[in-house]
Amino acid sequence: MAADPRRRLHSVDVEPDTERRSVDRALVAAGRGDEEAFADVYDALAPSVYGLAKRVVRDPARAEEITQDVFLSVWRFATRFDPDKGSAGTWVMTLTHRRSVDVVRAEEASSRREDRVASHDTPFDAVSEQVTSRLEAEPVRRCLGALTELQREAVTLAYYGGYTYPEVSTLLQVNLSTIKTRIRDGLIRLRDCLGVQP
Amino acid sequence: MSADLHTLAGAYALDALSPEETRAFAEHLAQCQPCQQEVAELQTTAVHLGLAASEPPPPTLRTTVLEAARQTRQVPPVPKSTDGARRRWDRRRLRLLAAAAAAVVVAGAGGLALGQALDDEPQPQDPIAAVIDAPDARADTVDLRGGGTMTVIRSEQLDRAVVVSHDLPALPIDRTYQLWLVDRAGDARSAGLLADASGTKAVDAHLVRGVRSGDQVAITREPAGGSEQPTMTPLGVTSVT
Repeated sequence: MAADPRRRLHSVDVEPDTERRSVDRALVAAGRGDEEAFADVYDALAPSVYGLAKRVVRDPARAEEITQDVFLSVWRFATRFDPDKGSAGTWVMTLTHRRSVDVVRAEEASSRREDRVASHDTPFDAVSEQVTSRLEAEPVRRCLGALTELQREAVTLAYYGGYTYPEVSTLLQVNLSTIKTRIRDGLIRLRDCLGVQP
Repeated sequence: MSADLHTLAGAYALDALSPEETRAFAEHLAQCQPCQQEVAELQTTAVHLGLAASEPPPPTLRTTVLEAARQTRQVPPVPKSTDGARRRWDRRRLRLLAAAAAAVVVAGAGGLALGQALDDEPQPQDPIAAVIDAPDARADTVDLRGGGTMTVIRSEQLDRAVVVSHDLPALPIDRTYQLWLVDRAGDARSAGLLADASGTKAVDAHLVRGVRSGDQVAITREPAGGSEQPTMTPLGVTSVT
């Protein structure tokens, strides 16, 4: 079987060990059809899923739909979840971000999004400022604060704003190759600051 | 990895590439171990950003999700091995199914003489029979939301699948059924419109090329002419890996 690069991310831990294990165990049980275990998975991860979806799509109703979609996928594919390949949390959050971004891009594939990028009446620094100040996780806030301004803006607009890097380039009026580099450099600094282990 | 491609690792980890660039980068990644390690770490870093945005969902959502799960079939676990007898039985059943679709296929997909496949040896030039008769062919059937079923017969060796739809509800003239290949990360790419796109025929068959390991087949309703990306939650998804 050809390697699927996205699967590789499952080899990296996100949550504290004990919490991770209990969610992983619940998801394995859900994979055997255990609905109560699935409810435990929901209770553990739903705030993270809903919060991220809402942050990206900026619409509570759409965020609820995404949350429901994500958890239905999690239920359906729980049969194939293998905790040795990575944590439930990483899988679910990666799926959530992907879905959320798909939703904003599909909804704004029309001129509306182009307008939004071209005019961006919300100043970019206010956007990332707001995101940063509302973050609940202290280490993430601290580490975002350790980035350069351009790195932080590029990373947060791409991740929380759901913008592609060319759109980020337009918003920040910085050329494409610089944006690519800043996003990567910024993530590498975040990785080191947060102590993400291989 | 070229310096230019390498700098895309960050944007890739943030889902900030166009679909085309995502595919190109993913293909490169599949062959580049050091890049995989970096991307894995950056994706996990991105997950931290996601976890930091936590917010309690409305309490009613819990009931909705758990109820929906209760009514949703789980995909089968990854099969361990293939049993010979079972496979033959499956293939015979699949031939019948495909033959039932033959009338549509002849019109819709380049004059495939599927009807012969019932009595004769499969014709090597017949692409649908070739999938069904591939030694590694596997099938899965799913009931679709709103009515009808979809059966997917998949050969990993051939990178192809045959999608047979049954009893799809007819659609208004400005709507069409569209097939999608969805990879493990949830990326969807169009696998074409059903030959009988508005679903007025009882049985329809469609050959899908370029199926990759781990892909699932999904079906949606889209505006006539199809969409770039699915605009709705799929009516059904089958997993044949």
